[in-house]
Amino acid sequence: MRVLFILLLWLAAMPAAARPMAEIAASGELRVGVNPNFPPMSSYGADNTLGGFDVDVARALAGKLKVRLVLVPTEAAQRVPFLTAGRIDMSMGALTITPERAALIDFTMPLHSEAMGVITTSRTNITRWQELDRADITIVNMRGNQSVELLKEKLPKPQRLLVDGNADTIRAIAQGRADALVENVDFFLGFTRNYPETQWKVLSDPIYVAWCAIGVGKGNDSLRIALDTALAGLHRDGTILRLWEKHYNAPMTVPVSEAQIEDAGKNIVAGGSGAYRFDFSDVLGRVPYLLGGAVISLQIAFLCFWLGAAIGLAGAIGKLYGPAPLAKAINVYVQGFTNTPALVQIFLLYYALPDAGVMLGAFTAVVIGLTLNAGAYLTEILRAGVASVRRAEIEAAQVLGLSRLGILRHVMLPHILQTVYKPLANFFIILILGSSMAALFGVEELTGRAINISTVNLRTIETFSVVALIYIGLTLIASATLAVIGRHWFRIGVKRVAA
Amino acid sequence: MIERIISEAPTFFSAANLGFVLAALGRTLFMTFVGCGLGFGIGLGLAVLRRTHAPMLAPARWLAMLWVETFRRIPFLVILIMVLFGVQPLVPEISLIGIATIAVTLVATAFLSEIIRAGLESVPRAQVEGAAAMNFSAWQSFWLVVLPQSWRVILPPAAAFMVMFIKDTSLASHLGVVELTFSGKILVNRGSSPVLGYGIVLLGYFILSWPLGRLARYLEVRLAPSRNH
Repeated sequence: MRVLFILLLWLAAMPAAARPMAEIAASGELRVGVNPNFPPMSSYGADNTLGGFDVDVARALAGKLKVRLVLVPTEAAQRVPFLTAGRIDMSMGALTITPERAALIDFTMPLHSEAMGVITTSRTNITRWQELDRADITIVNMRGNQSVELLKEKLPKPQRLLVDGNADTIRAIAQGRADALVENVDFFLGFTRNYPETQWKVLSDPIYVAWCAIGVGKGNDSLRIALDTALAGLHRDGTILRLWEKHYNAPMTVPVSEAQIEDAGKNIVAGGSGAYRFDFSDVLGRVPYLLGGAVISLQIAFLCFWLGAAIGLAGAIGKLYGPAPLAKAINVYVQGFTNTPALVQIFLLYYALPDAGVMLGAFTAVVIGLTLNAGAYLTEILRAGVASVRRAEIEAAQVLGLSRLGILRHVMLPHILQTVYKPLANFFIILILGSSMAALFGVEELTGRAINISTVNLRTIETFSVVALIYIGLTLIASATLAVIGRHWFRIGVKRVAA
Repeated sequence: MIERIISEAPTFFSAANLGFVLAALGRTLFMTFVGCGLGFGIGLGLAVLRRTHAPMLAPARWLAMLWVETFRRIPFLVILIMVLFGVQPLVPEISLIGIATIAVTLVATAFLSEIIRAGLESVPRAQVEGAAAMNFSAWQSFWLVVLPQSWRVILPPAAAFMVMFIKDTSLASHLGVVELTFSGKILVNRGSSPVLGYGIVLLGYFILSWPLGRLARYLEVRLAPSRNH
């Protein structure tokens, strides 16, 4: 923690690294952040170079500023952090103007509009977006997109599924996990081509219009003014609309108006330049929400531990006492699952099983995946415990007339627990930490909720510092509880008086 | 599902795709080996530091303990995200794989230093006292008496830890490091069948992890202290 704290202080002392126009001109290159996986805005083409609307606009801007263009692949969630870190000079990728972002970075005049529409399939019989407001509808959305918050106001009833990438939203609808996507339709239609069997349907009446602009470092006025001047030229001579039509094969639904070009620079929030200032206020207000996520993390760990222990005990007994083919089969299971990552196992359960007609929800897929994984590791751990039971004791119990279950309960389990209690307790802690990967499937446990919060408040370091502390507290409490249970019930760690 | 796999297989197993997956596999190995190697070095330093008794070093010992306790209690995914957002403002030019390797190092240091400490403590106290009686300096006693005997206790669990971490690096795919898992994700997003895309990834991990796991178990048997004396 101390190390972390020093790191944080160091961060706080860092000056903003935005390069002013003079420095960019001197270096001769403009570093532009574009999304590497966002056709037709920007994506890798067949020749493995980036191309698209954003790339063409960036090239035109660099030409006007008389510098060379350097493209930096920037995922949606890194658009603001890369800018505040000074890794890029300007950020693209349909960066919507929002107050949260305006507190951290500055925006040029709007580059294009973002008219929200609905992508759905023939499974829903909907013709207007208002009809989506039903509890039996699931709307898929991307974490970090500001439409997530706005949708909660306009369409409060539907359930929502949060995923990480553009491609994942369309896949979720194709696989039937969700019914509709409410987003800028143009951005997402490209992915529907991956699922030709699905009957796609687009409702075009716009729900609302948002504006996307180019982001620059906070207080980097020289670059912003240079870009605004260049952009005004590109808007007025029709270049922007022409490039839009070239890449989208359709005109921009709502073009940028002359008034917006005139108003450039008026939406800049003053202040905030210079050293990064820590602001824990938002995340501290959401600690109860995070603790609710911690409860879900614990639920996942508990479920996977007990189910995994049942598999592990059966596996260990089967491996030691079962017939040879059974022991072999158990060995294949253990080697297969312990030699591959749980994350990829869950990917297969979640994304590949729907092709075979089996659809698992995110929580179920994660619990099944982690349970199978835990079962394999626990087979190995419990085998040592089962092996510690001497055959003579089992034979003695048989002579005394104990049933099979009685032998397991009264003779084997006490021995096994004595031997493996500590490794089992350690494994439970590993499961608490491992449950965090559920976040990558949209389960809103502790880490998932942290990602939800930080993609909106953009205070990632602050949010995750608090989350790290919660995990430390959670595992400390779990360790202490397990030690007390071990001492009182199983006499683990209690020194026995020599007989 | 089966027809789809069979019809896609010839285009899926193209030289370009296999080369792409192999390069990603190389990155997975790089993160694991470099991260765990650095972690072993720093962990050894921390373990030795925690054996010292000088009052002057007390705060350093305290820090070392804090490091170990902290990084063993935070999920690797959370550490990855924190390193990404913490290191980037300091070193804007650092690559994503560099960031992931730093995260691996932080965690590996914490776990390996505990393994090393247990190994160093397995050498009976009497031997250190004996070395002191023979006028060995603290350094000589560590280098010539304690360390050579503790290797056999340290190496098997350290190797097992590294083999385990090969699989944990799959979480670096969330940052966008094009390692083994992310290569599968990219293939699936391009339209490949998930069974093929993630299946080849599973196979890649198995090819890395299984032989190394065998090696770790061999070390354990080979180096196990004999119980016959």
